[in-house]
Amino acid sequence: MNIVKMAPIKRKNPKTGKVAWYLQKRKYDTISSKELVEAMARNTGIPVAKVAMATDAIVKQLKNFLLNGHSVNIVGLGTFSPRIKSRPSDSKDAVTAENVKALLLKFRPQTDIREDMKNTVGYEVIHSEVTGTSPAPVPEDPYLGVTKFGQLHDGSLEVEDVERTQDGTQVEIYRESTFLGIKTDGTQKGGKFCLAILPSDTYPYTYNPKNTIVLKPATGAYKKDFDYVANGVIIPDDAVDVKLLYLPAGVQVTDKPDNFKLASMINILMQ
Amino acid sequence: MAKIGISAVQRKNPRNGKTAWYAQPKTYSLIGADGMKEAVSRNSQIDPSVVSSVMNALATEIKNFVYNGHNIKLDGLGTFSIRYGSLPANTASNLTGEYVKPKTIGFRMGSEIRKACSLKLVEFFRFDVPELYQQSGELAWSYYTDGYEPQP
Repeated sequence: MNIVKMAPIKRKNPKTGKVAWYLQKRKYDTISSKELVEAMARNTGIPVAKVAMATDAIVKQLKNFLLNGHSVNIVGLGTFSPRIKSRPSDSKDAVTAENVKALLLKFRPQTDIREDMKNTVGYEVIHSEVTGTSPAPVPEDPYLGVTKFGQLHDGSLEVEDVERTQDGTQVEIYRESTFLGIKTDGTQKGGKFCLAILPSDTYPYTYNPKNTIVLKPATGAYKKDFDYVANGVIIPDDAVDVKLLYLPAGVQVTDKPDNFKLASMINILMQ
Repeated sequence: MAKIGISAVQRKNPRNGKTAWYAQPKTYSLIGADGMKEAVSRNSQIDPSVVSSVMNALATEIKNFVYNGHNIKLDGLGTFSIRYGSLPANTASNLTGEYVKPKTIGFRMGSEIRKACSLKLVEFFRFDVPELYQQSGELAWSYYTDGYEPQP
């Protein structure tokens, strides 16, 4: 049985506004392509270099097929296919390339994975992380005095990817709710932290206030772990970049690129 | 330049209830294990049996890592992770593994492929209207009729 460790976290449900305790996956190491290739080589007996070469070729071919309008099925995993975000038009004939807002890749996991997970994955709840009896060591962060990041993750409350057919029409709903918390070492005074989201249709690549979320000082249960938090953040599917900015006092987020030379940026790993 | 055919589909906006016409991609074909194996080995000169073994191992290892809580970042493609939901509880101590609602494996596009999907690098054309695909659609039409034709 595979075990995934979970920790309790207090959150506000963005739909109902109710605050309750939920389970959230603990932070695990992200497996890189190199580690994946090594594991594959170990289990197949094929030399690492050959596996690496084949993996690169598979990814390249997969991209090639998808960007030319094909769907690709990886047996045992699922199907990748192109997906479009579109602006509406009043008539069928009025739909042109101009309607396309973004091109995305959709991954549909194989149907038996859900059942497989029910049977082979167990969940262990680590309660000590809530009581604080054994706090995890906080790694030093070289940036800006930010010493700890909360996870920016697929919110467990809730990721929906629903498709249904109504009278022959297809409806898609996709919604993500995310949380970000940061802890600072207190060296930043008088400024503010912002989450800047860059949608793919933005050109030139500049951030603007419309897509910037100012982190609020943490209160309540969050205060224990974080200094600033942003809750219920919606990150669009087509976002090409998300950055955490520190804006010194007096600096406002504007759409002038020069403005961001004043701001310090931290790349955020989106899980 | 990558080319993707689009067609028009009528949909109801779930937020405001209004019905309108939207663009949706036209998928020419579903490439299966054999199609991938053939295309990859042809373009990379790697033995088809090796490609086949690596594709199977890729699916198996991704599942293994995800089932143990890890995220897997596959260079050039994106990140795979576990998707789950959680039922709420009034106190933290009430929470047990039973509160986890396992869902499935999630995928998030990586920055490299997001850039490749940039609208400046992909051409879209109406696939379902002959006059509109007459010029730019010829290539895609041949994909449709001849199966697939991988790019070099």
